[in-house]
Amino acid sequence: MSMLDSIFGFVGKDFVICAADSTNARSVVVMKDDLDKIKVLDDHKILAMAGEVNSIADLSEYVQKNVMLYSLRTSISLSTAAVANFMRGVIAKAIRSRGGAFQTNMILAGYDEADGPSVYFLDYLGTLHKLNYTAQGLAPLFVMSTMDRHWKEGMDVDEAIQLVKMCISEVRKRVLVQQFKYTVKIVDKDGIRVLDVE
Amino acid sequence: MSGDGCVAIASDTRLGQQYQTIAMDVPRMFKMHDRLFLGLTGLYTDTQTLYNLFKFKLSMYKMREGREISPETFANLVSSTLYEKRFGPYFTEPIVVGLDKDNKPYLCGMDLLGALACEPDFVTLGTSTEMLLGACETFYRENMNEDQLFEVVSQTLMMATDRDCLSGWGGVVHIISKEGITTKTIKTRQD
Repeated sequence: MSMLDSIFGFVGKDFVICAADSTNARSVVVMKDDLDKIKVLDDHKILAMAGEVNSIADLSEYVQKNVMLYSLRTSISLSTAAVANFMRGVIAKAIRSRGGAFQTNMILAGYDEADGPSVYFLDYLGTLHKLNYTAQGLAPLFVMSTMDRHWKEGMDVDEAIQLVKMCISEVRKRVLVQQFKYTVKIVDKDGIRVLDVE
Repeated sequence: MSGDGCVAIASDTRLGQQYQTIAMDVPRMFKMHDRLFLGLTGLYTDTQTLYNLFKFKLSMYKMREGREISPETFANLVSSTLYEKRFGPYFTEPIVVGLDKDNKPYLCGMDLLGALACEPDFVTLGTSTEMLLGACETFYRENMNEDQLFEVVSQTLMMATDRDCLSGWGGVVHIISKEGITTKTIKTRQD
């Protein structure tokens, strides 16, 4: 699996924030620098993905469509926890199937009326865990220590953006592979917003 | 580990991918009913898959039979479920721990294919299994009461996981007795 992507996310006071680099590279060649690796599942859920681009498209569309189908059929919109467990099932089934595993690790972030903001770690094997902050791809090597030090319970949006900036500059400073741009998205009770942190 | 009319199960709380720690609040033991625990070491996705599967199977068993499953029957259920996947196994080594209807401790470990290894005194599995085994051999005594059992199990877990770079970062101990379940978290080295 290509490990050149960097994604990370964390919970704030009443929102979740996710960042992903937007580089799509094959071998040593950069194909494009505006790939959105943070997929939108519904009004209050985003999925940041690191890995093979085909798996990213395949899995995110499959999940997004199924979440939509469920809500159309039942008039119930799924919670972040429900979607996380649904995805875990899909991924865990895939690793032992003929088609093979989805070659992608991801972070699911969402905001629920009942449970508030949440971030889930989900890897290509189907390991699911709820966390306050996490990273996937190249990012954890560099930003986990930054977040260990600077993440606090109940951060507001400004503090969160500061932390995202710190993490991005840490990656830029230390990673050999150039990561040109970052996509940053935030989810709160009003929905999903794209932030420009540059 | 068994005691006098009580039995304990303990695990560390680290979740990691090789040398990267993902979380430090993940005990790998699951309460199946008031007198039965299942511990699942190994690949965490399989731990989660199997826990969901056994939760389902036990709900079906309870509805069909109108009673809770006995530890021995459950161990055999786990074993046969694992052997079903003989040529594409779940990468997990389970422990079944419980009290039977006479309040006698039941302990059983197995490998990833479901080969049962039932012991009267203690069973150890996971990355620090050898170190745990040594500590258990040293500290185990017969007919310990609940408090003594807790002390021995905690010390054993701490000794073993502190010397294993892949485990540690906290621990949880459950003690099952006829009065109920006591759960205690233990602080260990955080590095």
